[in-house]
Amino acid sequence: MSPQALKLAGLWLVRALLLALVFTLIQPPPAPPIVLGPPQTVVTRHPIVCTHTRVTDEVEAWKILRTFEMVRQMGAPTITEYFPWAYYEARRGEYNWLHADVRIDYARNQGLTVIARLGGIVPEWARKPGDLAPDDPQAIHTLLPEERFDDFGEFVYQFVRRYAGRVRHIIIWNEPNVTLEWGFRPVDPEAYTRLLRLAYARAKEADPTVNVLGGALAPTLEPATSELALNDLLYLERMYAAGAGEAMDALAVHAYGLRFPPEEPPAADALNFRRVELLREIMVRFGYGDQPIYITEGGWNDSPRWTHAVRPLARIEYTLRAFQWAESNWPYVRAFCIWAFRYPAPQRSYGDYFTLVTPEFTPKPIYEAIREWATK
Amino acid sequence: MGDKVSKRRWTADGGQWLGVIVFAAVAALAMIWVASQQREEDAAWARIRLTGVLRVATDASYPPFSAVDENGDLFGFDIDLAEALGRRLGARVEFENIAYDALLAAVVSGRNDVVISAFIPQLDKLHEAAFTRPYFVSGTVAVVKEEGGRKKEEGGSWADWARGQRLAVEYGAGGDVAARQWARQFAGQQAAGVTVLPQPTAQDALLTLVNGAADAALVDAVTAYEFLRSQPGLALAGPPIEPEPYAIAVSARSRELLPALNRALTEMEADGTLPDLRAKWFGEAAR
Repeated sequence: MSPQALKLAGLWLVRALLLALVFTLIQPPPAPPIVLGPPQTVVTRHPIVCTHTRVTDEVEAWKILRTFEMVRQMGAPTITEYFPWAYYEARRGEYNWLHADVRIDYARNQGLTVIARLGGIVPEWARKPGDLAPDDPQAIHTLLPEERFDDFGEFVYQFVRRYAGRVRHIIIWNEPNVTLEWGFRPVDPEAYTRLLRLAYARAKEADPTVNVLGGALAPTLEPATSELALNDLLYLERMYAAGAGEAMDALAVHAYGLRFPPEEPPAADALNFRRVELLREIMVRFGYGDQPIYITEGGWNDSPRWTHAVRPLARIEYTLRAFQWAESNWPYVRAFCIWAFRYPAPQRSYGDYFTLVTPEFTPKPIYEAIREWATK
Repeated sequence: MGDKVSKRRWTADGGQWLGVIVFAAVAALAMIWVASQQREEDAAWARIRLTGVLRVATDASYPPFSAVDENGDLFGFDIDLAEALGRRLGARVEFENIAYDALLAAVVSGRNDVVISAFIPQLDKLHEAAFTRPYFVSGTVAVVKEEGGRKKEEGGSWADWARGQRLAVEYGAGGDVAARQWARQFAGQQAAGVTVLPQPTAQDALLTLVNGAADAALVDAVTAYEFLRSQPGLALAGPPIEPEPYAIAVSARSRELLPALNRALTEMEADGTLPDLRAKWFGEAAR
């Protein structure tokens, strides 16, 4: 290359470096690190109050801390929080716990007990079933082939070992009775039970004192022939028949009231808040009545647009009455977690009407009503 | 000088050409990508033109937008809008009544061509769906008395508008959230303070305004429009406080159907068809 060409190449290099410098300069400055204050304590008259916080996708640290501060101020000593497998083990055997560390440390700083929901999003490397390519549309993020159960068990082991003594409750998977959460394959209570047993063993290997919660089933009336889901009562019976009772310390339950008040009597062909009692009957029938229940999702929605919603006044009244009902009538229920505390951004759908606080941290009247009831 | 620079550039060798070649390659790749995108057939549009049928998904559980009458027939603003669009596109409309949760999947999968169902565009779904311009704006609105009621100033904020006012709201609803926020903002400022008057329903909030116990009512737009139809002497204080635009959803692959719908909506807005439809179902205030 001639000296002239070298000079011109150098000129292009300088231009590229200048461009990179400009891009660097227009980047927002890094956020100042959060310095946690002294450990806080939750003051509450009703320890059953809990909420699913959903800061899994929250980027800014101060927003995570603000979320937990507001939960504490509401009088909720417990949260459920989601830890998708793919976020921490994008490459097999390589773990990045940075975001999980932040959430757990901040929650503990605010005096909150964390129920960690594990699973959900499967890393791409673990999705491949048989000869299906990882980028095949069928290989969706909830697809966990049975030959990868051991890999998930290893993730559970690593998580529990890392947070031993800091996280005392874990939930294995979420709503496995819905095909969407089971990789769009036919739901399979026996396969889920095999996953639960494996995860239970690995969790206890890492920390014998950790409480393993199973189930977290979606309330649904879908029959066995459905392509979408399976009735949660039928699913739970098959779980116990397959031996799930020996692989759980407690049952995680989802309890939504839809359009019915919390006192509406339960029925096998109805979806309402007291469906919890039907799940409890199955637990007792299979000999696991000594195990508690954690309601890790539940509540009412007040969207003007959604068929299964109620008006805002009813949502507030039903929610407070549901806490009271659970306290008075369900001694086996340890926590009732309202779905959901806040989303990082608006969903622009009826889902926004499940929350207690807006993305901008403006408390909704339902938040203030719960805080008033729980702390005053 | 310009000529000299130009000459040097085009006669240079080596490194100069490297940049030109990289730029040309990137441009060519971009053009190939754009062309490939354009060549991908819009199956929905092709089928509509072939069969003369526009397949509309709607959740008929939300009157007066979309609902089912006692004879099992669909009716509502969205139904009329779909029929009007069908006429513009030269297509007969076939409706399918689908639960709200499954509406978007109905167009993404190709089962239906469009969703017309008071649907708010969801930005996180843009990888699989696309949305037209809004044809209706819902959300929380402020209603005041036509005479003496405070209107929001052009360019002013809603918080400024709220200063010193008594605001009737539906307890727990969006108007309540906004009013409490302003009350906190002006707390301690006696004359400027905002008084929030929570009521059990949106209708009760509007009646509180009518009875003179409040200066304004913050309620959802649909309830406000319905109330204004039968209650003279009331007006909106301005555009929605928290706008919720309703738009038509199509598959992200519907690259020809989407502009056709947007053209039709723009024409219908301009020639009065859309304002007339809004006035028919929600009254003159919604025109």
